[in-house]
Amino acid sequence: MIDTRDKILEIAPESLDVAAIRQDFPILDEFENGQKVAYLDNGASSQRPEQVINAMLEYYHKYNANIHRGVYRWSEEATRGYEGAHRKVARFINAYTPREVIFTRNTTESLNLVAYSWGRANIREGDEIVSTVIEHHSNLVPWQVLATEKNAGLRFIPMTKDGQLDLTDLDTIVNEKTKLVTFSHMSNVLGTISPVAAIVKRAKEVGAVVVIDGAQSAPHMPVDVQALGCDFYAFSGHKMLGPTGIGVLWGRRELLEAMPPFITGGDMIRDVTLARSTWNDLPWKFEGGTPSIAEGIGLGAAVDYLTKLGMDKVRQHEIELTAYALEQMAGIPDLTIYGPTDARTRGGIISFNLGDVHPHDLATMLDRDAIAIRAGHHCCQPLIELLEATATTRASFYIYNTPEEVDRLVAALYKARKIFHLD
Amino acid sequence: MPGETVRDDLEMEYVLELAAAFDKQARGHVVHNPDITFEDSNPLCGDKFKVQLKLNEDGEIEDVGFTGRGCAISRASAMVLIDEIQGRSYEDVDDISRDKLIDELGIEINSAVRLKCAGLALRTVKSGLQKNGYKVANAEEEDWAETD
Ligand SMILES: Cc1ncc(COP(=O)(O)O)c(C=O)c1O
Repeated sequence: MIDTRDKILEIAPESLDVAAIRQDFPILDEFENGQKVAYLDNGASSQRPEQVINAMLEYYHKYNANIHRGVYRWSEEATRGYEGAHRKVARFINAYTPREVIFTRNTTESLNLVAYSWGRANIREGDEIVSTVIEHHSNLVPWQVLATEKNAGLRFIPMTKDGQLDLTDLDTIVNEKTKLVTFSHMSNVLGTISPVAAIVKRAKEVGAVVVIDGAQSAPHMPVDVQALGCDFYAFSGHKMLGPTGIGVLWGRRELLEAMPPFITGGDMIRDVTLARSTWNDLPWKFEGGTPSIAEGIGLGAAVDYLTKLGMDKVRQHEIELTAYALEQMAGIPDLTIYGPTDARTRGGIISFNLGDVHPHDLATMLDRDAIAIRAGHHCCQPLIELLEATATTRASFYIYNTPEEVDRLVAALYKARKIFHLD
Repeated sequence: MPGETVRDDLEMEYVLELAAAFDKQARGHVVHNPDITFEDSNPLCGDKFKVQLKLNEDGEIEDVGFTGRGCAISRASAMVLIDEIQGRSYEDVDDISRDKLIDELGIEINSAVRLKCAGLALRTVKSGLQKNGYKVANAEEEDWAETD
């Protein structure tokens, strides 16, 4: 099967200089319970380097002002910083133009923007929306709401036993009634990378619009929205070294031009009379109200940081670390690892369960060894149900994680087996 | 750190014992003609408890049963709670706080998420009483994380 990851895997660049990277993240030198924290919860949110924090500080210290209207230097500089960040993001994902890059609060808001604006204008009774069984609630609930409101159908691409999307019945699931197909590029529970090309091809055969939830892919692998062939692509700044409160929706210009605005009010208009208004140019038409300016500037700095490292190297680092972790963890008795076992077909996210120990109890034990991981349903209740679990424990890696941290996780899991009487 | 392991072992040991006692004695115990049936869940992890309570005319809790799923801390604190309220007036439930349950578990919890685990059973019981017209203080407030 042809998919976009093939292209990425052909490249085998040299590795990241992790020691140098860690210098940029002073938080990684913080101690908990007498040890440095092994931060393995990057799927939830990453850490931010000095460069990002400083870019935001500099805005607050030196040129804090609202954007777009001021004619004094501070405001002009803030406008340049904020607009410039759109351009950086556009290059980062290979958008045609920064006009296609809308800043939102996060992935959730980006997906809601599509559901409310595109969805309400285009979905009619009897139409079908296709999603998958592995989605984050953010890429499920907005479509449930839309489908209910419009009396439209909602169908799901299933999953194979090893956690890949099962495309066997794709041609019937995506059919002439399908108006929109939405799926995550990388699963935040299983790390599985979706077969984008095959799904996009089928969606385009029936003329459906394609939405990709890139919350887990944009931070961790090279993304080229033109090559992906989708129509919308959503992601969050806080998972890719940027601040919270800033996210991105990329959309094809002709679609965005035709869509009604989402949030209306200041900044997003061109002309206003008491009776009616006309809309501002893209992307401002979709950025009503004063935006998160410092956060936008911070996201720009995060994109600079990642671009300088090289996203192919970021991906390579995570393949190596994940392969190492899977190998080390495979030897632990009673440990169930969910999802594909080949690191090249998945991101740096490993979900597991240790015997019948509740993930919360396990996470508390790991926390005592200063290992920060996530326990719960990861906002994917339907998927967790399919895994026949009530919750999982999840370790997720990023550019600053090391094999030594993986070793600490593995050692702590052996220790937990003792504490919970599994041996 | 060898010292740590011993501490973790001992602390967790008691919680695991209580959780096991809960599984044996209370989980799945069916209350006949319950006056109150109430379900609550921890939205952060999907853990769920359903409580059934039988009260007599004097407002004394005669029988308590739980069903559902939870981590060791939530099950252990449910066990402590049952021991505290069985045979006592519903008014006494008001005097029980999450912190008191945690004290009895003998562990230290500083994670806001785990505090919710420790409070799930209490919250379920208090909300169940409240929804059925018994006057008890609102348990939800206790779930609000504190700074300082
Ligand atoms: C796959 C996926 N989609 C969507 C989201 C939602 O992101 P946010 O909470 O930043 O809106 C997340 C993050 O948790 C995610 O992992």
